[in-house]
Order: sequence, then structure tokens, then C-alpha cells
Amino acid sequence: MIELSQVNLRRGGFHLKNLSMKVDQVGLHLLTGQTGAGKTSIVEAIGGLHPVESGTVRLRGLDVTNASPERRCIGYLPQDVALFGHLSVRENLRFSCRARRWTPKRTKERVESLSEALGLAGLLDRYPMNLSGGQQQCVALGRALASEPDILCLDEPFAALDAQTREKLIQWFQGYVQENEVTVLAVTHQPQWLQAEARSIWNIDRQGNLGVGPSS
Amino acid sequence: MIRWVVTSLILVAVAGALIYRAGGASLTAKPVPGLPPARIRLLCAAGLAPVMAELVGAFESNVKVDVSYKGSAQLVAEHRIAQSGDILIAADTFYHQSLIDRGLCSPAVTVAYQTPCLIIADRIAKIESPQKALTSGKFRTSIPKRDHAAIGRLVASIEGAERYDAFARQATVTRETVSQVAGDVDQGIVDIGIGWNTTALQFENAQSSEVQSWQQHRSSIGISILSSTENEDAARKFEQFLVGKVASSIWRQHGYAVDDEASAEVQP
Amino acid sequence: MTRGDRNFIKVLGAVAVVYIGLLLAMVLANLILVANDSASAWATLTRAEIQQAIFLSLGTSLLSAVLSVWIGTGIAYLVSRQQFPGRRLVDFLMDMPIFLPPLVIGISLLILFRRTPLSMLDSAVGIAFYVPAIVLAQSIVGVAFVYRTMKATFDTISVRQERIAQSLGCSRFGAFCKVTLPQSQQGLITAAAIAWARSFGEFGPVLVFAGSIRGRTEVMPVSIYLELNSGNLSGAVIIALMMIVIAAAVLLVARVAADDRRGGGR
Repeated sequence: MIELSQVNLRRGGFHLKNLSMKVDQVGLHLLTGQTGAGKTSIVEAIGGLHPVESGTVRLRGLDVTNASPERRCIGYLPQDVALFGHLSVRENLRFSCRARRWTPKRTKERVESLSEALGLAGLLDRYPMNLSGGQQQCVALGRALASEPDILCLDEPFAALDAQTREKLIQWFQGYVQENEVTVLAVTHQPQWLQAEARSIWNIDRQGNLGVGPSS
Repeated sequence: MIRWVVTSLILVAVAGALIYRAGGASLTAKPVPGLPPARIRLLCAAGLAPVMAELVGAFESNVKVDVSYKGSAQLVAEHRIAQSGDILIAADTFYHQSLIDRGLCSPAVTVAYQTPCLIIADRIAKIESPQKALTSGKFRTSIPKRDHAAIGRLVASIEGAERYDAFARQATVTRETVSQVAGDVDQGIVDIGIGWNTTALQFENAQSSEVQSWQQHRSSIGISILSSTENEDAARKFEQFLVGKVASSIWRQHGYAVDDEASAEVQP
Repeated sequence: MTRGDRNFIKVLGAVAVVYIGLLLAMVLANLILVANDSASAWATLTRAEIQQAIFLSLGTSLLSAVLSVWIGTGIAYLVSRQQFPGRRLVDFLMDMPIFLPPLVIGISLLILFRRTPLSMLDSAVGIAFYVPAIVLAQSIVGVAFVYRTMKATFDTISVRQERIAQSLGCSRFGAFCKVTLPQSQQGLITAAAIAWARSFGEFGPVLVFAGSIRGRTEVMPVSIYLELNSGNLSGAVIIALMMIVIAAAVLLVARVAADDRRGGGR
């Protein structure tokens, strides 16, 4: 499903060499590592937000190394959530449905069911600046899931939530992943939240070595 | 985005309506040569604006005259670039010469004369010796530049360049056009300026004061047909009108002198 | 606040009071002059060619502002977002209309449209000395001001937002329309207001390139020049006062609209 081979990435003075990884099972996969190891750069490279210097990126078996982000059809949740501040919660949630030209009826149903599941039902007409950090993260998750992508790249998806909400949401999310047969690559530095359900755990160390392994 | 496109289209429509209201198609459409009503463009010295506006108004014909007013030197310099327009009327036939030399216009036909004089503020009683007044430092003065204004060039040739430069050195301000000089006097910025006898008439608080030695040095205002004209017949018509008797009386009302033949026609 | 702080604020305040006082005194001086000669001032405003100039000024400046906003915004976005060879040169060239003397812009346009092969276009359509010349002269300068404002605006909006919009299914154009443009509304309104104000007051290039043709290419600044040249000072001043009133009204509306965009969260 997700495959990197011999990928070189450069970001400012930061250089990751010869990254290879292969995720070919549906379900939840984790990418862990210390802060600053380059986790975010890897998911951005998969999402097409950050260009790779060399090597190939494959999604669903197709080479997408030079494809623009919209062609890759993945749901991406950035670490800083980066909600669209000029749009209401409802408009944020339906953003990708609109962009992918869903019918208004289907879009509306999708937004309703997502907002229900994520506990956003009462907040649809608010603007992101008036939400708490946890609520913002829920909106960003909903925005990434909205147009039903079969591949999700989530960067620290549950970090800003309080423990109670987090447990509820993780439970719902695991159900969602199973039910919809989604492939998820989640970046986290707290793998204990998710590792029970994870199909594989990838780790990147300070030297930039990427491999399957137990969490540190 | 759609909102911006729609807003822009609405604004463009409003702009179009305003421009149309200002003068409609006649402003934008280039006239078709030869078809009535003909339209000619006159390049005219800015100092002649009041008399020219009246002359154009009195020109009864199916020819519409658009007048472009600027300083003579600027008109001539720009015409060498643009080479468009039908008639040139500069403040002095001297300015026509550089265009005539380049084959850009016909020889000038003189239509009126004006005389250099002092323009003095109403509160100044009498000037005993003009030359002294301009150099004594007793009065604040406004002097037209001799390489910019027709009047400056003419008076410098009468008085001698050296003396004229002395006027300029003593001056409170030096100006590019005679209208600016007269404006300075009118607004009380200076006491004395050098201008045409016709200029002061346009200003309320200024009057002209004759200078004996300048009297016989008239400046001739001429008309030339530009070789860029696409409407020579219409241009000739206007030229003839300017030397005719109706025009002569208008020239005189504004203080200009006209040739005797013309003036003879006006007398009953 | 320490005594030093207070003095610092006092000095700044004094500078502001002197400068703004000077501006207001200028307007007041105009008002006094017109009041002393109100009959001829009003007579000037009722003249057909002056009324024509008012409409022509409003129409051309509006058209130029719209053109400037579209062109300037496009180039600003390109330079702000795209790396390409000569990007710095483009950024420098876009300042050219700001640092060039207005007369030079006019002369250059005149040479371009009358002394080069472009003169064939001019002969066919009628640009120099016609209304299109006014709009061209105004928007050349307007675009430069829009460019500066919009480039600063785009530089403050993160590229990430666009990339994320793309990951959600938008094309680059879609991301620009749905994410960047709505977030730059305030900048756009400011840019449009500046472009309009510049166009409205533009004189040098218009005088040279469009000619100062009474009743045809006569915009309000040209009217002022022509009235001054024929000794009608109070007429010139009342046209100037009229320009101040019109510009104040338009800029006030723009400011309210821009503040609206900032306050509403939209």
C-alpha cells in the first residue's frame, strides 16, 4: 500500500538517506522515533507535501514520486492541525468532499456522521480560533477522513486530547479502520496508546536508520 | 474566486458606464478619416487656453476640434515622438521651426501677436525703470526661464543673455511657463513678473505694465498644419477661420494684436 | 511608564500632530481660498468639460484599479510561491513604476506606442491620446503598488495551508482560490484601494501619454493643470477639494470593508 525505496530527503540542513519501508497490510501502522528524527518529513514525503531528492514513493503499487498531493488521494492530518482559519468547522470538514466533487447530499450526510462520531455536532458553525486544542485536533482528523481515503497519514493524531476523550476516540477510530479497510500510518512518540492494535511499528533513530522494530 | 470575478465584472461595468457618461463612444473611438463630422486635434500652447477655448467655441462647422494644452516646448518635443495630431499653435513661431526643419509641419501662418511686458501686482503703483526693478532686489520677482518659455527667450534676446541671467539670479522664483509667472503675481507670491500683455488679462489681481524698449519686439503666434494630419481639409478650414474676421475680434478681446488686413475687415 | 518613556511618546505625538496639522492646514487653506471666490469656483464645477472630467476620472480609475488588482495579484502570487531563475530580478522590476519619475513613464509609453512597430496597433485602435492611454498609464503604476501589497500578504500566509488543501483534493489553482485568496481579502481590499487612489491622482504619465485634451482625455488632475494654466486658481482648487472628498469617501468605504474582513473571522 505504502512503499518507499531508497528515498533521500533534504530539509534545510537536515538530510535523511536511503529510507526504505513497505506497508502492505490494511490496518494501523505506527512510525515512532525521537523528536527531530524526521518522522514528519517521512509522512510529508508520502503525502507529497515535501518533495523527495531521489528514490521512489509508491502508493497502491503506483509510482507517485512526482505526483502532486491531490493525485495521491490520501488523508493527511498534520501535526500542527493547520485548520483553515477562514472556514467554519462545517466548511473544514466538507472541504475535501467539495474538492473531490461529491454530491451535496452525500457531503452533508458524511459531515453529519463524522461530526457525530467526533463529538463536533454542536460546534459546526464555530471557527477554529474559538475551539480548544483537542477540538481542533478532532476537526483536523475529521477533515482528513471526510472524503473516505483508503490511505491515511496521521501526524500525532491524539496528542492534544485529554485522557478520557483520547480513549474514546481511539476506540472509535480503531473500529473505523477495521470497518472501512483503511491503511493508516500514524506518527507518534507515544506508541503505547496504539500499539495493541498496530500491525507493524516502524522506528527511526537519531542516525536516520529506518526499520521495523519495537518502540524505544 | 467566483466572488472576485463577479465583483470585478460589476466594477468594470460601472467604470464603463462612467466613461460612457463622460463622453461615450466619442472618447474612445478613433475617428474615421474623411467621414463627417470630422475631428481634428489641435496642439496648443497652454498660455493660449482662454482665447483658444473661445475660438473653438465660435468655430461653427461640422469639424470637431479637440485641443491638447501644454507648454510650447513640451508640445513640440512630444510631437517629435508621437507624430499624431493635425494642427500646432505654439506661443511663438520659433517653436514651429524645429518641426518644419524635420518636415513634420507646414510653414507657420501668423494669426496674432503679443508683446512682452511686466506683470505687476495691483498694489504696486508704478515701475519707473523696469530693468532696475528686476535687479534692484527691492521687489520680489518671478522670471520665466529663457530656455523653457517663449517669453523668456524673446526678452533675453532683447536685453541680452547676460542681463537676463542677472534678472534670473535676482529672482525669487524662476518658472517654465508665463501662466505660472502671472499666477505668482496674482496670488501675491511676488510683486513683479515678466509676461505677455495678454497674460495679465486672465488674472484678477495682476496688470500689465508696458516696457518702452520691448514694445516693437512682438511675438508672433502661428498656426501650422502637421504632416501627421489625416484630415487636412478640416485642418485648413480651422486655419482659415483663425485669420478670419470673427476670430480676429476674439483675439483682440483677449488683448492680442492681429494683422491690419484682418483688422480692416472687422472695422465697418 | 517611566519619565523617559513618557517623553518618547510625547515626541512621537508632537511629530504626528505637526504633520497631520500641516495636512489639515493645507485643506483649510484651499477651503478659505475657495470661500473667498466661491462664485467662480462653483462656476468651474458646473462647466460641462469639468463634469465630464469627474466622470472620466471615476471611470478610468475604477477600471485601472480592477486591472491592477488582477495583474498585480497574479504576479505577486507567482513570485511569492514559485522558485524560478530571475525571481529577484522580477521582484526588482516590479518596483520600476514606483521609482521612475511619472513623466518618464509617460514619455516611454508614448515612444513605445508611437515609434515602434506597436504604433500599428495604436493607429488601428487609437490608444495614445485616447481614453485607453489614460487607463494604461494609470494601471502601469497601479500594478506595482498592488504587487507590493499582495506579495507582502502572500508571504505572511503559510504555503503549508495550500499544500494541505492540495492533499485534501484541490489543484494548485483550487488551493489558491479556496485557501489563499479568502485569507488575503484584507490585503486585496487594501491593494485595490491603493491602486484606485494612485490611478485617481495620476497626472504625469496621463498628461504626456493621453494628452491634456479638453473634454476628451481630461481627468481631474489634468483639469487642475489646465485651470491653473488659464489663471483660474479658485477653479483649480475646488477641483482639488472635490478630489479630496471623493478619495476620502472611497478610502473610508475600503477601510470599513477591510476591517470587516478582519473582525468577522471570515
